[in-house]
Amino acid sequence: MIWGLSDAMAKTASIRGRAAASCPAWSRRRPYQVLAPEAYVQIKNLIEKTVASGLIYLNSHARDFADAGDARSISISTCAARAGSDAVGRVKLMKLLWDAVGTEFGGRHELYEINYSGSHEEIRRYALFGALASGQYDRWKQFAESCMAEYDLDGWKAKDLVDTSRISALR
Amino acid sequence: MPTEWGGFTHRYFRAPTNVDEQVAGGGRDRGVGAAHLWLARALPDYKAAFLGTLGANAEFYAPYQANAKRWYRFSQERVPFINHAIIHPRWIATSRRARQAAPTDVCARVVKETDAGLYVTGAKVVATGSALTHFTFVAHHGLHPVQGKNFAIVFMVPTNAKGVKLICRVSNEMRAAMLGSPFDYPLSSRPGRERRHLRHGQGVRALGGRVRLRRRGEGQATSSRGRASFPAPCMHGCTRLAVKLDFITGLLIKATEITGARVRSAASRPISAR
Repeated sequence: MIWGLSDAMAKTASIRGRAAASCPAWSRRRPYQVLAPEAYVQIKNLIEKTVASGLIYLNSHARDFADAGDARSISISTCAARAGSDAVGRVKLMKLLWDAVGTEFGGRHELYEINYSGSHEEIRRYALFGALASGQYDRWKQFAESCMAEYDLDGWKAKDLVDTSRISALR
Repeated sequence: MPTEWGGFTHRYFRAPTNVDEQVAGGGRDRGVGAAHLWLARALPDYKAAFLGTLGANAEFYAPYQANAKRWYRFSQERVPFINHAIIHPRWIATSRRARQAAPTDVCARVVKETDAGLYVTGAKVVATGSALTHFTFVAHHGLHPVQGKNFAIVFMVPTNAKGVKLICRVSNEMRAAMLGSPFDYPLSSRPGRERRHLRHGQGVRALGGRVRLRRRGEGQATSSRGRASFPAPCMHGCTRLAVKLDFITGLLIKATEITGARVRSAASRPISAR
């Protein structure tokens, strides 16, 4: 989805300014700005639901693996290492995934993604004002109105639609 | 790649003129490493996407369009590390009076103007790694209920100018180094991710008048409507997120293989969201 929006932005250009510079079209930028925060939050939530306690039982420090008591064997027995992953490899991966989405660093980046293009209200105002300025707002409205103009209280008004009132049970 | 002036620069530092150049530039390089994904807006190519508007849309800065062009060319030829400060701080207002007063107390504004330049004060949110930059590009973004010529400013300030203060949160790198190791915090232990808040002390001199980019007689709320919008950084941000989700998806796939969750095919949902 996000790659699709990036491709769409790169490949649609509106030319502006005396320098005739090219920039990604408004209509491809606004969907990204609104959708990205929604997607990121859901992805983080899915990771937490899917990997679940795999992200929880982690030892505190790399040095645990060198200590007596052997975090390595505890980790293997409690975490049921699968797919050929040893305890160090499993912990290494889970710590990286947790640092990406859950530590103060990762959690702060979720806040960052939620507000990347502006506040949640501001990015929607941009979408609204952009639609108003480009004429898209009126085009969408006209599209809806063209459908509504095809019928009224007396039935179909459009010439290509069949009048079915004669078989109505409520006639 | 060649510049408009016969020199050469990195691709991102030249504003694209057609779709082909746009596809090639704008931070759409998929071959970045994991470390780049969290640097995000601290990256020089993101700043370059910003600075492109100075050349592409110089007339926005009239009557200072020559200054905009000059900075566009300077950034291409010298590739300084430029910081950006466009977001206003959040102000907390508990009363009607405070609501009216607060923005004018904290937002960046001109307090004095001499032949030598503008003196500005106010607070802005700046990007990660700001303390390492040469200059800070100060502009505004979005609509704010502040009217007045003194607020309608876009300017460059040397990050080491007298009076500029950067306020930083706790260092993730330091915390990771003291309590953990790269193994324990593989991302946050990397250097340079401290987001800082820029606070111009009273009367910071924002370079000479020739460097000033914009100050017109219209209020900020109205000037924002015709603002120098930043479409190229938007594309950069989108591509960055796409690569970041590629990376996170890779981690998730590996995690589901280890925990056995992959058997339940639970990983299929985030993959479709990418």
